[in-house]
Amino acid sequence: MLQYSLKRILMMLLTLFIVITVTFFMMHSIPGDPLANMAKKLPEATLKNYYAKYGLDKPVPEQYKIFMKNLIVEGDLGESIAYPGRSISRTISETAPVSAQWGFVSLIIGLVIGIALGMIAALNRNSWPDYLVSFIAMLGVCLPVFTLAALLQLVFTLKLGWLPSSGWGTPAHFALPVMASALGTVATYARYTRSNVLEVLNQDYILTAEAKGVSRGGILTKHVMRNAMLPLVTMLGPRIAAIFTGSFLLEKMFSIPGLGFYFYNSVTSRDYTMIIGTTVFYAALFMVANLVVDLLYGLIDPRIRVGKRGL
Amino acid sequence: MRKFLSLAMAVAMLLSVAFVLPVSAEDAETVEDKIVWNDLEGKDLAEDRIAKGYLGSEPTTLDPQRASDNVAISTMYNLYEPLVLIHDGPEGGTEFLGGGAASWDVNEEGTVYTFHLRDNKWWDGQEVTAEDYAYSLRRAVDPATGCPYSYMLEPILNAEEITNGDKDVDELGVKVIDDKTIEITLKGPNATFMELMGNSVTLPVRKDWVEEHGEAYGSEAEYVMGNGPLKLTEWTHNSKMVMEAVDTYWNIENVFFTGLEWPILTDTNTIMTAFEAGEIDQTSTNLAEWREKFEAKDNVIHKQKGFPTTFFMMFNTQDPEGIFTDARVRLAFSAAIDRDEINEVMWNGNNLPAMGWVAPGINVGTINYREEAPNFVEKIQEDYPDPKALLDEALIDMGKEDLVDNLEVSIILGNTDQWFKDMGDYYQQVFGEKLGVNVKIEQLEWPIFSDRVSQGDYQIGYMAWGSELSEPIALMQIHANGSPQVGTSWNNDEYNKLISEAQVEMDDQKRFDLYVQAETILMEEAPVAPVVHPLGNYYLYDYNEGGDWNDFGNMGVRQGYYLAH
Repeated sequence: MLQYSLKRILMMLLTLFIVITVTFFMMHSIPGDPLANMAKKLPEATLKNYYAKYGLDKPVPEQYKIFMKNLIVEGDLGESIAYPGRSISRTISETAPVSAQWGFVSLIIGLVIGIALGMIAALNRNSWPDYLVSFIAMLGVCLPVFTLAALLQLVFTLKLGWLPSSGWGTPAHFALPVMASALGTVATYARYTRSNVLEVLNQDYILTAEAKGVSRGGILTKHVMRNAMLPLVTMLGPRIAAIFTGSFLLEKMFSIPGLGFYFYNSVTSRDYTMIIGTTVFYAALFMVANLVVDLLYGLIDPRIRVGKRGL
Repeated sequence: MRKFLSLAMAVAMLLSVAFVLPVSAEDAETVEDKIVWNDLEGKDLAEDRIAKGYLGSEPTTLDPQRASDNVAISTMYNLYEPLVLIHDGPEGGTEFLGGGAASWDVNEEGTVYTFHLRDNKWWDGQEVTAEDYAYSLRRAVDPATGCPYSYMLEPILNAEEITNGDKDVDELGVKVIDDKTIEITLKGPNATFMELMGNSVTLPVRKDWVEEHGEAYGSEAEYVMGNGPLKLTEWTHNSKMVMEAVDTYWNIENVFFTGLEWPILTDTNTIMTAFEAGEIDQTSTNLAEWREKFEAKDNVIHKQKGFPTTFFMMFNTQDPEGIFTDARVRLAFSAAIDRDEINEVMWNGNNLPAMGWVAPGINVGTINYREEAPNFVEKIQEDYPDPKALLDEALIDMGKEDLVDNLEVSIILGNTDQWFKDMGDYYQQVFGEKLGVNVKIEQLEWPIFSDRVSQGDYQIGYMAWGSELSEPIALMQIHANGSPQVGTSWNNDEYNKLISEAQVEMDDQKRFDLYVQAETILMEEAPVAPVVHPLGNYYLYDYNEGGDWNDFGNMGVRQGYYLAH
């Protein structure tokens, strides 16, 4: 187990290095310039200072060397170009937890409801609860998140007057974005749970269990749930990483001070330092989440417990 | 309360700074202390004195010498005290009021201005001195600062040379006489100088704060020190900004608001919902469904207002294909655009069809420019009722007979939205029908667009330009000396000469004539084809009164109040 984890961590570092390198050169190869967004053309001398300040006057391989050195030796991701003076590390460490907070709540709610609905649908196959769940799932997949968000604002802010239209800081501010983003999770997980449960129910070992006289509840919790969960856990890794990076659309609509904005905006404004900073963060998070998921497998399914050389 | 431009295409170049009837040097002697900004007498005022506006985007920075976006600029007027305050005068026209300066005088030649500061304090209680203002002016022109608006200070002696790195910062024509007196020497008389002293680029910063926080100054609430009526207490990026009134501000008794809590709202639907729910006190929209809704409300006031901005097509006069190098080709394209029709098709008739290059709302002294100057667009369309004939003539003269009825041109657009695609389709059709040309549309992201334009790798582009000054000079100057700012590469000696003469001409009528002559050349040579001037529809709750609507004003929350509601 320990050896396996160490090996995985080494692989992760190598992957991270490759991701950074590829991103760095790709980003510099797209046309456009971070200073293009400045309202007016800067005088020559000022422009020169600008480029020198961000090291943009040097050849790209040279810039790459400087960036890597700062990152490895000092752990420094630099300063935003589009938002002068803002440190990238501070921006990420302040905004990612915000995204994670509402994202996590939304994920848990979505998971619980989604799995429950999926179970109900599978156990009542081809009857009205199944159709209802299918309908909700289709709705969740088809309805664009911004439409849903606007609809929620209309109902809860304008018609009922219960919740603020946007903002951040109190529990009331969580409600709308969580609802808007949870529906998608509910839809995905309800559909997967349904098909997984149905598949498991057809397995021979369920028949065996029934023959042994295991109670229906026992079959559900011990055999069905456990086996049906496995593919769901696989999907969880990337989702957990994604909640830290926020949803650009929902954070914009609800004025949530999360990371989503920087992810999107840094690319369109060619904010090089921010692009690379958010990419490093996301890549690292993605890999850690996947590692955790892989380790979780072992807990759920002894057949794929890692590190032991079995059959 | 300030309003914010939320134009679909406020790409980055729309900014407003200071629109005023520029006081010519002779009558700018001394302006009496005006302390009453809000006439509150006998009014039934609201108890809740927290301003409920909003910011239409995240400000880039609150450092006056480094900010370049509109929202940051309007925000900073609440935090810092400009030497001169600018607003709509009580009897119309524009008025200069003493802000950081209680009074000022100017020498006979109109080249040396002396400002006498009033007693005012920074938020931490420290006295505001002439050195603070002088430091900020020097900082703005210092190339090391990277000030996007340093060029605006060019009227000051040696500013241009310093910005270009040819002279030392100490040589700037700014002198501190004593703690409360600052003297500014210009390189020549200048009709727009007073306006400049109300501009955000001249707002004062404290040297010790800038030195202590370095690059981070202005990037977070705790790295900002001001001397304006409100103090920044919270800035949650992309979410919210909170400010509190400062007791030590020199005229705090006359400020109605005790603070503000402004959400940062960037999504149109959210802004409209927030307004309808009463969370914010005003908004603007040109969308029919929301307009109908708001106009049906009894407690909402509708206000329509133009912007000193021009939306225009631009032609590469150094076209690598050798087509738009001929003025007649450009003129033919300009004449082929029906401004009324495009205004209806693309903007539901919400904008003003262009009459010339200079936008409405721009004045030469007391002369309203657009009202007095000829309607150039109409003239072009009368002179060339058949633009195709003009185009064909030019092509034949250039020895390109084979291209008649067979010409292919490309338009680049700096936005990848659906709306811009529709506009591209519109032009494709219009130029196809009226000129018989085959138009290719390329939609690009703004940085790529901007790159292509500055490298001269395009034929036709589309942009917007907002005036920073109430005088035509800000809009006219961008076409002078090779047009480095718009990238048309157009250069006309006669035009350049007229513009530099207008800059130092202090007589309003003479200056007006010079601008008209210059605009005549510009419209005939047609490096650009002005299309429309944007118009905004504003909606505000009826309790929200007394705010200043001057395009170039800098009053911020100093002016405006809420009635009981």
